[in-house]
Amino acid sequence: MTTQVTHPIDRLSIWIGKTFSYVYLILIAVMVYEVTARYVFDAPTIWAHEVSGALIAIGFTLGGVYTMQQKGHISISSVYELMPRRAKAALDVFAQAVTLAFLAAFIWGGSVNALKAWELGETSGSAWNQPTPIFLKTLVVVGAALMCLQAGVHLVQAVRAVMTRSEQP
Amino acid sequence: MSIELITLLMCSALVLLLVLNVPLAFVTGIIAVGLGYAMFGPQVFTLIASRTVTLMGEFVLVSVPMFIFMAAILEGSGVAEDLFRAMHVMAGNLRGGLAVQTLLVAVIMAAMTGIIGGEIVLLGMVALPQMLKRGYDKRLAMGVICAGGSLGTMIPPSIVLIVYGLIANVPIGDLFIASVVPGLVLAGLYLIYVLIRCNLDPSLGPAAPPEERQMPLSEKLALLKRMFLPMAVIVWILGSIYGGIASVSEAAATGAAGALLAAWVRGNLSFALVRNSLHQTMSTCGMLLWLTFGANALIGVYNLVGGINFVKGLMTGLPLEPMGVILVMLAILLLLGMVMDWIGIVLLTMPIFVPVVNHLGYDPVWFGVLFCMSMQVGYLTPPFGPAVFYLKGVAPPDITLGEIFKSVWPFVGLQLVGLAIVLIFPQLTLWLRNVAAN
Repeated sequence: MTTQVTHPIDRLSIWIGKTFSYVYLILIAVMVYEVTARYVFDAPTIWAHEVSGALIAIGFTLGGVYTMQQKGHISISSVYELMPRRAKAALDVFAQAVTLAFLAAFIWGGSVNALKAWELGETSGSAWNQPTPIFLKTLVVVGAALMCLQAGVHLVQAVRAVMTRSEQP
Repeated sequence: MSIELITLLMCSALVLLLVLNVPLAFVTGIIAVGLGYAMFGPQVFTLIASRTVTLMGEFVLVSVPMFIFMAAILEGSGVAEDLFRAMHVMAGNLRGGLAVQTLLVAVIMAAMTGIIGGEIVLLGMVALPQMLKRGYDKRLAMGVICAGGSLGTMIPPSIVLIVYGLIANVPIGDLFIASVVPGLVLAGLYLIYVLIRCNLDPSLGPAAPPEERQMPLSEKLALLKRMFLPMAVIVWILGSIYGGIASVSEAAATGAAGALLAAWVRGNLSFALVRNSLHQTMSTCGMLLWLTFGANALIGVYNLVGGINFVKGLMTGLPLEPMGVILVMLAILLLLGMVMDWIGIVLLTMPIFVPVVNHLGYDPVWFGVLFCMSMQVGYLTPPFGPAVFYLKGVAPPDITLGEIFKSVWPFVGLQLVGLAIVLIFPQLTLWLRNVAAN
């Protein structure tokens, strides 16, 4: 039985995960190009290294949002599995609250860093010298914020489950 | 607050939150935030975020999604089935031949995958039904699949070793080369065990009748043709790293491209396969990396309060010979392996253990291999044995989780023997490295 995902934030997280998973395909192309350029044409690029870094950063950061929607962040559920339904829901509420607290602090710190980078117009200082640091510092904040939205949805679901008395809501 | 008290509070909080089923990534994250805030105030939040950005700049991390994607494509393109049929011709006439064949396939597949899961699922789907149909002892069959399938992270490429190398600051290529022989030692122990058991009691694993093993030459050639490119991908990855042609990340990315090419030539490259492999890569990396971010934050904050030096002093101050300290660390790893996933263990223990290993004058590459072998045990041991869970997912419904856990014990014993061998003979991890260096 597959349940239809209806909440817009769930759909947003899934869309982000699936769409941005293509960065890994682009990454393969960039790396193959770089290796070919270096060995076949003896002309390594100045940009492949930095572009690869930015691509995996997109994948890793936004992958966290997708994983969260799929409830794929690993936890130790041995004790949890023994609990009755409403106790499980209560633990879910707690887990989501912890998650939100961490993400809030992360966004706080990340925003300070990102704002500073924007103000300074920080660049990578490499031969290519692009504003990559600004991009990366902003990206982690965006990723964490999207995870906050998804954790918020899970939190509301868990609170509802705690409130529901009967087994069949 | 004294460092002893901080350490005690931190460990208690860690255990408590984990037992309450909070995802590990956010358990470590929140403790980093809480401890950091208590000690240094809110400016520690900027440190946590910037450590994350710095970590993502590690170029070797490129190899993680590339190896995961490559394995997903190869596994999805039916290589396992072909391999299994090819090996049947070779090993079918032995007592326990199907189990031997499964182990050989597992070793080759292990050279394509770097993460536990896919390989066990495939072997569970391809090899288990055949062994059960042929009247193999259920426990032997399931043990072989769990233990053999776990070799994926022992034989390079291995995501476990990549993460270890990143933390221990040792070259990933060295770790890969060093782990080959110990990986084969483990596989060899499994093989010997299967052969001995089946020869003592042929009913455990009867040989296949000769008519079943006959394959027309045309089919053999077709099989060989289909196997050529996937094998070439393996050889390229290991060869290019060992030969110093490409960095680990470049080898991984070109390997992924090679896997796509191999699937295309085999005629089963579809849009659905690529899409599903990308989605799998996305969610696996999302999980692995946020866990890494969280643990990285915690270790950073703990180091700032002097925790790492404290534990280092504690460990090296133990009234033990250096080898005794190593044994204590391995015992901790084995115990943690029962309840935690490898990634959590490597992230939380290695920033503390590796300085101790270095301080005692041991080779961190050797210790990385020992770590990887202890995680092999961790995959099989209850209550949290990922290999067993993966097999349960694809095993016939009448096989219970308890039965699979019972089936793996002899293999856990063999893994401990393997661990002891590498512990006593560190040369096993050095030998190929010396060959590669020349």
